[in-house]
Amino acid sequence: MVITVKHHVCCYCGGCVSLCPHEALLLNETLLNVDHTRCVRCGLCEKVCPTGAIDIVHA
Amino acid sequence: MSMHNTHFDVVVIGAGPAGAVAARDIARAGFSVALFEKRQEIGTPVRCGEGVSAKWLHKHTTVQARWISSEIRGAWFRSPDMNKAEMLYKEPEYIIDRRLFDHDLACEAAQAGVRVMTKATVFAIERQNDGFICHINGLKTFDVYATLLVVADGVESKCAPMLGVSTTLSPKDLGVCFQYTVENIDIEPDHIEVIGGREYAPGGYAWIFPKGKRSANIGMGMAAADSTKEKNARYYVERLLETRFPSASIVRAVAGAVPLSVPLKDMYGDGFLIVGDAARLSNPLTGAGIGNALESGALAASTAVSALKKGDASKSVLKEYRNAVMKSVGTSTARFYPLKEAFVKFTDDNFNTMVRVVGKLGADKVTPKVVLETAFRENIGLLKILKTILLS
Repeated sequence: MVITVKHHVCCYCGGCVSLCPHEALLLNETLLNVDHTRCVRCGLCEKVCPTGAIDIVHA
Repeated sequence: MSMHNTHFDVVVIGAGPAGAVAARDIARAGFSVALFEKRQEIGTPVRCGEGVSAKWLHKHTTVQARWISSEIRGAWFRSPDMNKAEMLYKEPEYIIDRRLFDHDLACEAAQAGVRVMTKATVFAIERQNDGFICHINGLKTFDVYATLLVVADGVESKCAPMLGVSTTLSPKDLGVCFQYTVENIDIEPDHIEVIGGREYAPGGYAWIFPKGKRSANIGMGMAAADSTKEKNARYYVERLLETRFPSASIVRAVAGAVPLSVPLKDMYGDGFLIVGDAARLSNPLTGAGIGNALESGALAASTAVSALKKGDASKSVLKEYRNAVMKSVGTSTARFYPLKEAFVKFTDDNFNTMVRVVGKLGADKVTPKVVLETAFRENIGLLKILKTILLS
């Protein structure tokens, strides 16, 4: 499993960044970055995203 | 023009309203200040419903006509059964243009002598003797020194954790919001509309904030805990838009996140002050944050100035900032927290009753306090919930 961001849907609110319990997300202006070494794939960001821009993809 | 290795009395991180006012006021007192903004342009993309009480703007700046999208004199509360109740404001509210407002406030800071720089991210902070080294990247990579830091980097604050203050929120204490700015619709330009109920705003509320005679911000916010991948804030806004304004033109999409918690306990520490959304100073019931951000920025400036004059920016001196904030807006903001906890449990019946009872009072007798009192008085279940929360 891996977290992917649909950048064409993300509206850069930073909500997921302020919730991530593992500080695995960073918003660089309009680019949301996932630090896959920190991410534990808990799925919280996928659930809370107000636009539906985050997917947990089963690789 | 290079700032590399420059020493500033104060470095302010984040050029939103809280950061800009703090930077401006410290510079006006004669100290050297730098204001860094990670975005390339101040104020955009907007992440805000843009409503603010006129009194806060007038208290902290000279209000410019170009900031005011519309002047609001009242509100409609709409219940799930499509009844509505009117409230007339005692003091006006503005729906503002955050892009222009934030930009112009940063310009005020610049005119007061602040060195402003955009596309400049503070990515690391080191403590050094009696101050800090801020490592900055962006268009340029450089270091600056500061005696005191003002942390104003918003809801997703990265600099507060760098200073040892955890700002991670619980999903029930973060509002996730979505909004379209739409054109060519029929609205009442001097009234906002607030919509409750499961259909459009489960566990939160939807809003119609006029941006002009025929334009509005149409949005909704809900606790992150209640959001799902399919039924998120955007889903509900689109549902509202489909029903009420199916032919509206969409000229802007906005997503935002708002702290719905109590104010941060550690909003100060040795050598630093945390302001605005980063200090969790937005109202946990309404999500309003601009007024409290301006106020906390100004109070941080006043504490910073007296600390710099004393030559002592230690925790014991900076504690004064938290006292001042709590006395001004913090304690009253914190009081909304239990109300929010009860509000997220409102049923459609609760909203219907509230709007029906308030609607009979007469618009000039309705105040926010009356609305809340009515909601709880008329709904025994809610009163019980509130009591449990207050006693826990």
